[in-house]
Amino acid sequence: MNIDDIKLQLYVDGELDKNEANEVDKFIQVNPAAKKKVEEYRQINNLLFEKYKSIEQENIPQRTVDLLIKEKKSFFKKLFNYEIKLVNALAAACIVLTIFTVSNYNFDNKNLDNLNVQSKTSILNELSNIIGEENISSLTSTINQLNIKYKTKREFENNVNENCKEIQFFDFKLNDINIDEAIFCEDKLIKLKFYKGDLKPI
Amino acid sequence: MNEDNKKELMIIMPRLRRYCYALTNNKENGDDLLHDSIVKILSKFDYLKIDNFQAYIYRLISNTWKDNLRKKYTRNEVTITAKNIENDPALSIKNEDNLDYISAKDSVFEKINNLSEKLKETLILVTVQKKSYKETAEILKVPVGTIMSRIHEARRILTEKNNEIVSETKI
Repeated sequence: MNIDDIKLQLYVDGELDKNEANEVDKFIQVNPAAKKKVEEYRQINNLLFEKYKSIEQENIPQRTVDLLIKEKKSFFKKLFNYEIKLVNALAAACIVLTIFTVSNYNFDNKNLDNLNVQSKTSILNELSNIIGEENISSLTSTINQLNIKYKTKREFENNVNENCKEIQFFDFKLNDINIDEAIFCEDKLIKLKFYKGDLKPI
Repeated sequence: MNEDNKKELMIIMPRLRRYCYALTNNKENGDDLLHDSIVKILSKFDYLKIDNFQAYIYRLISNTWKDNLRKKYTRNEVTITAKNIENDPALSIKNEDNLDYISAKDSVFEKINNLSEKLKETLILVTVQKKSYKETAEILKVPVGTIMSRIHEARRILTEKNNEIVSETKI
């Protein structure tokens, strides 16, 4: 019977079916080294589980519970409530957004700010959450070299009194991804709006 | 976020809190991590298409934890985990006669904090959160085989160092 460390690990973690588990059961009865390994793995599992389980019985901090209880949808959230992963939906949304943007904001290159490195990193992290880390790795060096310009559309405080800024980018493109707008609260990226391809109409 | 999502979030919040505590190895930092993550969830949720709500939340917590760690490193604010372990009542010695057990226990808690972020989050999801390999793979967006090898590597490191400490105690 060929039972290696990986199989012992799967056995301890309950990842084997009944027949395979029975095989391992028999194997460790006659193999002291394997038995010791299983005991070590179980000891680690038990130590970690026992240490952290007690916190489940304690009350959740009220400030965190309040976040859920007091959450109210802002007008802004309702207005932009769409699914950024769906290109088709984006195309429709972009029409509305572009008309809104063009009619209200005229970019003046003299008044644009440069995006700092931390904000660039936040945007990359967010994109990697959405389109996958493997797709984003190639963009890291590109974004670092880019001089990204933006204009602040509005500044406001969120429900935890952080200073937030809604910004619009000027010609911020990574391969086929056009990054359009973002909201930062205290340097944390809260919202990112982007679209793929050239779907945004002018 | 609709009311159903909120209810689900309230139900799983104690488990999410345990995950945050295990990642940070500190109750206060864990609570801060949970709070920050909930703020993010509430601000982003309406804009995303989410197939697996729980996996998304776990992933968001992991990413927030890693972001915070990187910020701390750049500000030189990394806490000395061994000291935290020393002062943590959850680690108080219960059986003073069993030196091997005590050494092994201290060693595991000390050394788990030296694991890489990827190994640590994977091990915690499987051992503390009792997630299956498939669920863990879905949360971390990697293949099941990667989970298997990460768990194996984490345990190899922990047991290796664990054995070293036990041997020293015996000498």
